[in-house]
Amino acid sequence: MPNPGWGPLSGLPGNPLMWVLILSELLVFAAFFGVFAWHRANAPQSFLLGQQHLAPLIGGLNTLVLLTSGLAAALAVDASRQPPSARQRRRTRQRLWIAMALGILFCVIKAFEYHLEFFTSPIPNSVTFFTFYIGLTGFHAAHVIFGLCLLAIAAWRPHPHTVETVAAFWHMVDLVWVLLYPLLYLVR
Amino acid sequence: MHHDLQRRRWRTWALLMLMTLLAMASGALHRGELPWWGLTLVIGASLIKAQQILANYLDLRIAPSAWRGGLLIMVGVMGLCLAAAGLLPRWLAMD
Repeated sequence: MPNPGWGPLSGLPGNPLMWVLILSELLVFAAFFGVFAWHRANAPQSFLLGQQHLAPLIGGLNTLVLLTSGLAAALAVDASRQPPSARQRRRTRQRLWIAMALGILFCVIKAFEYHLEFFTSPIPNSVTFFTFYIGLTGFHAAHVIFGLCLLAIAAWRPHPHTVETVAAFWHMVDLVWVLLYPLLYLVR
Repeated sequence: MHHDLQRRRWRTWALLMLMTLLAMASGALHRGELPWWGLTLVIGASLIKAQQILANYLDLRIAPSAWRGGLLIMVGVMGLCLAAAGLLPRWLAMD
């Protein structure tokens, strides 16, 4: 039992309060997904026009980057669970830095993609779709930036419990993107 | 034990990459509306990826079964919304 004394939350890895945050964030994203599906059903042609303006390959590249960052975070958790030593701390930190570097790369690619979509060609008349697109990807990017701050804290003090807690949040960011990418770019 | 876990992480990553590349290819092949097989592939690949992240990145395979089930249901609801975004307009167009 990783967290004795926390009732139903005691069986989850990392700090139980992080799981309260993760579950609430998943609920918020699920609600947005539902509203998106409803609006798309009511205006499929307008949404299709907006989706055709996006670059699915750039979105896919970002998915590959974020999932690789998730792997680095998971490997950091494994390293942090090894018997304490200077080598173990160094390996944990290295993996957390890799996860951070890939998270930053995700943000850079996203900014480049926004630039391509909104400043280099005329934007199709699909206001509702682009409101969702900016809102959902922007909200997700805010989570990525918050996750990067958490990863920096874990790299600074790589205690196994801290690393597990931060990695749990980072994987939630992964999980949401894995479903957000097809919703916005691919399901047409 | 440690090496087994690491192997599992790398295997999961390879599967996630493969599923993403398949979905990307499906999206790149069709600029307009996706055919049924493409839509099924994209939604199926996304759900497999979500399940793999929960089980092998978040380590929920060792969490109590109630949590595993609860989180899978939550991701399932998100997957249902994903499927609804693709299928509802088609069904409404058929009527």
